[in-house]
Amino acid sequence: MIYQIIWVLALLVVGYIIGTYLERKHYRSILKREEALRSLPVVASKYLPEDGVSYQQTLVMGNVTISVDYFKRFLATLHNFFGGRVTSYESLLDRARREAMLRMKSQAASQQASLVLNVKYETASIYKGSGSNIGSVEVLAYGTALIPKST
Amino acid sequence: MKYETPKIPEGINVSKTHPLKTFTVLIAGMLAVLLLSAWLLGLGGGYLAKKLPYSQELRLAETYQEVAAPQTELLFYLQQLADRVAAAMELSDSMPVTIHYVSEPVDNAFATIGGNIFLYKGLLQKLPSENTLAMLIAHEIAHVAHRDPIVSVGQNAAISMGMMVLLGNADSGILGSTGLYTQMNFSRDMETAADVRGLNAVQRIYGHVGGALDLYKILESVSADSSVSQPEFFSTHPQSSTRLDDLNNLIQKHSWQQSPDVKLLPDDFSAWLSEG
Repeated sequence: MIYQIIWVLALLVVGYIIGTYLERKHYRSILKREEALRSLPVVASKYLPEDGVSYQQTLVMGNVTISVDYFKRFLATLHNFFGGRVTSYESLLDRARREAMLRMKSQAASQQASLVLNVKYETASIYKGSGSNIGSVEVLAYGTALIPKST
Repeated sequence: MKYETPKIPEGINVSKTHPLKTFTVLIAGMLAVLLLSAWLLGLGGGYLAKKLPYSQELRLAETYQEVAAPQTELLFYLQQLADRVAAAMELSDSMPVTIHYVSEPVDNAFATIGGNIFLYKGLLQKLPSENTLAMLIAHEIAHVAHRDPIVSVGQNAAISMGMMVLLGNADSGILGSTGLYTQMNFSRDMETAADVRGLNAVQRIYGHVGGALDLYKILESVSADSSVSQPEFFSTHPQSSTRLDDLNNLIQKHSWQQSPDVKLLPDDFSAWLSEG
């Protein structure tokens, strides 16, 4: 019993330290790349801009799966008991959404797109059925990239 | 239309509360809930256990009954004294008291379910007179009379059942290791009530309470000898000095006599102890 408690505490400490470090690192990377890709607008509209330019259209997507650390999962279990906002999962969702969007944008940028239209998010939990062993979230962002025709 | 991507301020979709703060608050709440439910379970278990008819308690104790000890002179003497004390306490005939002697150098004595009372050699050797021994036995019989052992069993059973539900651990029986040799956890109120009832019995038998309080002096010296002395708060037993004060107040209230004319233990008592 006492060893189980020590084991859980050790996992919590390790999970917290490593999880916090990785999350900060990820956010730094997200902010940097968002800044770099700021010139490429991404919109939910499904209508082509009426600017007279002829575009080649192609599907672009960005996909990411992010797992949560032991500490946050433990915190979420406590939240499940008492109710209220599961604050420990908020940053997980935020990171996954932004990372998926960035991957989609970089795919569009690599094809010299000037705009991504009709952007949608999809989410799926790939861990469903595996019990509480994995706490991860999958986010897919996709849209129609408009690449101006060179002629 | 010209599209652009403005910079959105950080922290809209993520709460700013520090996770460690949330953790502390939630863990404290969880512990409070656990402690409260353990307390409530104990209360309920004890309450229900007290409703158990004594005949059922005897049957429960029977399952733990060890092979009958050989009838020695010591056991005969102790049992006789216990019967006198029980009679003085007007203990119902349906609550038989059985004395067990444990020949181990342990300063202990306790009552358990089914009216079984265990006396250890270590403590008996320290007793100066029969009055003191009578006080010790009376205290333990008072526990039996108040049904403290079965309440303790009920509390433990309820709490361990709660733990099993919570941890999903069902490998130990509900009564767990509640054997006859298991010392019960009595609350301080139980101990105080047993002290008072025990002293009343000694007064009835001998007509005075001389020698009875020697028991607490012995207990005090025993706990002073042991390397770890627990502060009163952590120990369910009230500290001997506190108990002594309470009993002295009781003696004054009833103006009982503390006569030095105590009855000595049988001549062969110490010889019996080492034999058994």
